[in-house]
Amino acid sequence: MMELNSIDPEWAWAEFEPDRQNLWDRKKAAHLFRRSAFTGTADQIDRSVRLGMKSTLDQLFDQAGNESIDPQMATAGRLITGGSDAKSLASWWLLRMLKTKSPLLEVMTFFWHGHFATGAEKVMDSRAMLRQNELLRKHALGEFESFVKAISSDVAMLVYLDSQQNRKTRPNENYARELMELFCLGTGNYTESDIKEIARCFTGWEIRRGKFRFNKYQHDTKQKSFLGKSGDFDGNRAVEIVLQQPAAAEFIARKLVRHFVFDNVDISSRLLDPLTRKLRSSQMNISVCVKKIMTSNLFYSKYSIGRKIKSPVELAVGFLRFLNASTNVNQLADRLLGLGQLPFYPPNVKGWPGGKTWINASSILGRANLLAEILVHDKTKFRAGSVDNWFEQALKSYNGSTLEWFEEYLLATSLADATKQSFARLEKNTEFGAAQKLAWLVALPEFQLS
Amino acid sequence: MQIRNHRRDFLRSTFASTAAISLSGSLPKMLLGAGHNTAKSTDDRILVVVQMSGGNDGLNTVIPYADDEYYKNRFTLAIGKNSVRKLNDHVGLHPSLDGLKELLDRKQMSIIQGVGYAQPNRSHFESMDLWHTAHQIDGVETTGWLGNTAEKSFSKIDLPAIHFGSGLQPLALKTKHHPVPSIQSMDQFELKLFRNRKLRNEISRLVKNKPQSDNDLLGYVYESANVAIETSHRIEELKNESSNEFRYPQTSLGQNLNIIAQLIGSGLSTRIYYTSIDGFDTHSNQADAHSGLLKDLGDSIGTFMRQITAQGNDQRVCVFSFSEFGRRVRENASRGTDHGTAAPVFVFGGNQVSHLHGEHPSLTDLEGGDLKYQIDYRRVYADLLANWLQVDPTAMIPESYLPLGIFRADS
Amino acid sequence: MLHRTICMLVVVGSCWGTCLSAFAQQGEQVAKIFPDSTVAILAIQRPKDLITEIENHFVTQSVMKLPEVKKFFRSPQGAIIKFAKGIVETQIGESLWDNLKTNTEKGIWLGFDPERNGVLVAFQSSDEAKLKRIAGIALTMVGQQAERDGKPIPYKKSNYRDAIAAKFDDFLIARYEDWFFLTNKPDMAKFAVDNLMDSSQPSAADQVWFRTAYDQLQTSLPSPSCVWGAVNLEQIKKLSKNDLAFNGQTENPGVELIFGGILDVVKNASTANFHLHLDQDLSIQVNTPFQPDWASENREFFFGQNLTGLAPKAIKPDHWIASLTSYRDIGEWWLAKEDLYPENVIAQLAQTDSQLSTIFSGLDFGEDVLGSFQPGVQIIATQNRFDDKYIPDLKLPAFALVGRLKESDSIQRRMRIAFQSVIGFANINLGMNGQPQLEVETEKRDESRISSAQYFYEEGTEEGLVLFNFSPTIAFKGDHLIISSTRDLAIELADLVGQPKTEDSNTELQIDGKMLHQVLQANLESLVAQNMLEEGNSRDEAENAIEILLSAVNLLKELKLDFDVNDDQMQMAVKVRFDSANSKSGNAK
Repeated sequence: MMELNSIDPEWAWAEFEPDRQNLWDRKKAAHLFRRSAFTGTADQIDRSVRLGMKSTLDQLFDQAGNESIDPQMATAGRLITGGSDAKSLASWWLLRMLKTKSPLLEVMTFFWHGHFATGAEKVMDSRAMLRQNELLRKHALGEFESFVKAISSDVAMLVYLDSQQNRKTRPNENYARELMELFCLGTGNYTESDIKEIARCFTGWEIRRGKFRFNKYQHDTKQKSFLGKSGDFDGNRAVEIVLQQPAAAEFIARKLVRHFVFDNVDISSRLLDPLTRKLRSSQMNISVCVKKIMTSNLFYSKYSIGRKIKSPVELAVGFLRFLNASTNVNQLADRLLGLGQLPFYPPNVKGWPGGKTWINASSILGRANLLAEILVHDKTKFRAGSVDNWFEQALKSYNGSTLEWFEEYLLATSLADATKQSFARLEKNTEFGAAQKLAWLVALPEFQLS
Repeated sequence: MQIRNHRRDFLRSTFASTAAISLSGSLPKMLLGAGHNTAKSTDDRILVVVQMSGGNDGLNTVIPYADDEYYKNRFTLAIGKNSVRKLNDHVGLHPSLDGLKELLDRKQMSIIQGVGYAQPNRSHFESMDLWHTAHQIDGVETTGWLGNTAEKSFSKIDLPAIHFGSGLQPLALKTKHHPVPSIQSMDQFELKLFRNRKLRNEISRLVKNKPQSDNDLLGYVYESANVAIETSHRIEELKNESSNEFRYPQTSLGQNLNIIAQLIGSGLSTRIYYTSIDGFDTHSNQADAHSGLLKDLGDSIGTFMRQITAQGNDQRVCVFSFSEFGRRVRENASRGTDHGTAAPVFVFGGNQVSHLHGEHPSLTDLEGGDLKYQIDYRRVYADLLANWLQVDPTAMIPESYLPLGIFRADS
Repeated sequence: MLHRTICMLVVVGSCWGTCLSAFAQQGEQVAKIFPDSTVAILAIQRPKDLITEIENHFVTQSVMKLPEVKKFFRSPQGAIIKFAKGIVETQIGESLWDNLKTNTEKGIWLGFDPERNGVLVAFQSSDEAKLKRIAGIALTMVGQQAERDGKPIPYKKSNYRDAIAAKFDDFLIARYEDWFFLTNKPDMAKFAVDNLMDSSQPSAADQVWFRTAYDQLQTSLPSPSCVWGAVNLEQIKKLSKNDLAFNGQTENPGVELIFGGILDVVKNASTANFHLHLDQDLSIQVNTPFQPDWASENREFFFGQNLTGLAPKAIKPDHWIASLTSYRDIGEWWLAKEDLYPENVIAQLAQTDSQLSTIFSGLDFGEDVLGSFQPGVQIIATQNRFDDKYIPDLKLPAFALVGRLKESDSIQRRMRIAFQSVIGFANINLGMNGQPQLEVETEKRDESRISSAQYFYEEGTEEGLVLFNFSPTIAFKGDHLIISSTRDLAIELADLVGQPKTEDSNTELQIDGKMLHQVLQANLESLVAQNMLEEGNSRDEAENAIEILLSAVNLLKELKLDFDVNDDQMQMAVKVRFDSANSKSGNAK
């Protein structure tokens, strides 16, 4: 593992300014798109190189702020829930990820879906799952406090954490516990007594016929004491008090860094400090924090580029977006389930653990097989007409070899000489068309990294 | 990726032998058996769980044929004395289980009678949850006894447990952190690349040499890919060797066990495999339905163990089969049986002490019309964990449940 | 690209194109151009009549008017085809269609020989000079195109006896006198030439299977201008002997119920033939020889005693969409199941029986429920109606099954009790999931007795809950039993069932195109959503695709499929009636 402790925190989060040694080039632009937009097409990456890092980010955030950009997909979601299970909803979300014009918004929504993990298997109500999805999207780049308040009365969430009924005589501690452990603070920043007290704040929050309802008769109006405060607090006040804890900003900053910068598990408070302060001073504004991450020196450094393993969704959606193609998303969803990541079906309340756990003896070949299958599937539609046309056009507009093209646009790392020689042999072989060549390239271990 | 050392040795030896170069240490294995050199040291033991969902009728599985009470209570469903495959002068097996005869003869099968737990729960879901969690509720989130085993005892193994099946993953495999994968076919164990030899060979060759890089993730992916591809080669060899030799029933259990046998044969380091057979909730017209299910179970497991034995792996593979509860002693008016309590469970493989454990529960000393359990299921778990998988069972089940003693001490 | 397009045009054009043939060759004679190991032969007799029919058919005209089709001809691919066609026409000095009509005037033939793994397409011209000329032009153009691309000429010319041929990478074209051949195996063309010149080798024409099929065709052909085909079932069965279906068995109980008898026919018949005829309607008929003793004993449920089983008369209530009516005796089927299926399927049926018997609590599903049916059941689909207050997103049709019971009184009561139990079971589940529950009501109307279950929606029920008009109903009238997905349909059917009447065939499927279109139209939104997921389409693309589907269905007036056997043949007839009114009013928007 690389020595993260030697990194100067101030340098890490200072804005990246390209210079002669460290250019804003295709490799860095591609990195930004991989992390913030599933992936960028060659056109997007080239345009970004011309525009510069700041303008590219501004564009990404502008698109993300414009919620009405995908009206067709939004209404399609409601249609799909009429009479089918959440599995179709997963397909729908994948399609939305493929087609969206505001990819950062979907990336963020998906991130929060893993954070506030809720599984359709248990909720068994696809409409409630869809409403939660809309909620996640609405708050994905907003203020964290209103986000947590909203999710605290979300139907799917409360069903998932067994909090449909929270009576004053038997307060349910589940939500209170997860609120602190998984959503806002992390372990070690609260006591068992804090959980019991906060659970009392949420009494009377109920689900009745699929809707949230506050039942004042079941709300405990007596005084509660937790995290150093006392008073007759309700759930919303409890969220405010939890988020006033110093640990909250660091907890969220760490989670965002682990998702957007690198897979490392141990990130010191010292390294995070400038980011944590920024998050705190912005009243926990997610957009501000994410933007700071994506403009930082650390983000464009060797500590970040190629230091994440793509999740199955990132792998497949990114690949299809790069190809400017779409495919049968029902089948795609099935395959992603086999690889361990189906939207709306996180494995448990902690979400997908990510990182190295994506790769094992059963998934590594499955990932390569999926990409190969996508390339030749009869339902895969290329905007360029066919994979051969697409490949021909892609290489025609690029000034260099196939391998250079692949390394610049699609790889976070570089290829070993042996690999290059190997590909040179295959490329000479006329038996292989575009699909074979591409499938071979994306089966390389290097392609698994983001 | 963490791979146990002897596993790496094993893989090396397989490939070395195909290249006709023997590395030191691999020679004895080569001499051991042509084509069946997959046997590994017994400390790499494997547990295969077959869940019988719906509540198997234990009384019509292990039949107390000498007891008149059985014939009184099972007035239409009883298996005639002459059809019962007798184990001793009191109990015998349902004739549809003939597929297990070989295992019985070789002392590789034991029946543990009257397994259950106190204050029996007759709901499918709740009782199954108890079997899956071993009653241990860990904080807010419930985890399974095998999920815990995988995470606590086999955390260094790449793929400690695999679930086979298309349905929901059983709670038994639920982990706290790293989810257990569910797999439906062998597809994920083969690099397809349009079945083109040239494309595949180039990749197989490349992943053997991980590039010099300070990026440990890249090294990790290379190692994983290499292990996966070597496993897939081995699976392919096995397929060619023995595709027609072992005829599994054309059922999902048969197919799943076939895949598991291939994976075990390939040297995959996985220690726990889990699969299910559904349909045991036989409230009406039980006779034909139950007999079909038992035939599927017996033939599938019988074929599986034959293949495992042919691989030379029968000393390191054990199959455990259970159901969430048995059924009531008295049959109902629809020629079926309703939810009950205690029932027998089965253990196959390894060297076992005897083929019958415990006494058959009495058919007259009942609790509300149901059999009284004799052995708590957690004692079976404790045995499987401590004496088979050789891990500390107290991390998974309360200490008070002592291992039952199914396996011979020298095994 | 261009040379392929030209070849394609010649071939495709010829298949469709064609002739005022007063000389339709006798099939027997022409079959000699195919080797004796041929297993399938397809013939277009008088191609010109067919092409004229297609050209002038309003379906073709409607299709050509579709925006998608128009778009295709404006696309680059469409333009290339038009361009190539233009060049060829300049060279031959007449329209390509006219040319092809002449050149295929005496018929088009296709044969498949599995031994050689070869397909031979042959056609015979009425003007040898014309044929020679166009073949020459096509080859020249292909050569010129290759030259422009800087590639070698993609074919080699050769002679075989009096025939000349050009061999491409993976196919060969050849001409002998007024005959033209296209094949993937040169050997097939050689065989044809040899036999045309001296009839020296044994050919398909000598084979019993072909003669049998051809004789049968002679008696059933509705007119000389049609498409017909004959298949050597015997040989196909030999080649795929592991296939259960060819041995008269299936593992799928549903397939057995619908097609079981056909499996008997396939198992025994050595040949099959079909013919297709197009006028205002499209009719397709498949025939095979048949002998009464081919019907196996355990398929009496399918054919009836002495093959006399006839389907009950199709009932068509208001808003009728489709019905499938057949003789099937499901009680007999259940009794025969041990002989019909392999062991694993019987085991599964036993499990299903056990589960269903549990749900029917007390009634034995196989013996009591299925066993009480008289032969003859039909399934009817009608358009569903919905309460204004609760209109669901997915507007499924209403379905019903109508049958007759052997012994009516006590079994009726027991079935009613079972119905209540099933609803009770469902209610427990619905209640546990917080969904609206079903309330059972039993009513008497005239001579019928109707038990139905209706959803009870409490005030404030969430609008989002899935609310199909689903009111499961079981109704009895005399010995008639009606099981329906809605009460409305059950009541309508109860009024319509009366004296048992039969159709004149064993099995009959009927579909009303108009109503089918309406149902699809009502579910437009859902179809679009599903299309998006299945095809990865954007909303616009999905809407386009569904629009095309709807326009196609809109051309359909009626579809009818009959299946029947008699003492010497099995016959399956499909008749498609088109709705010319719709094409004129122009659905394409």
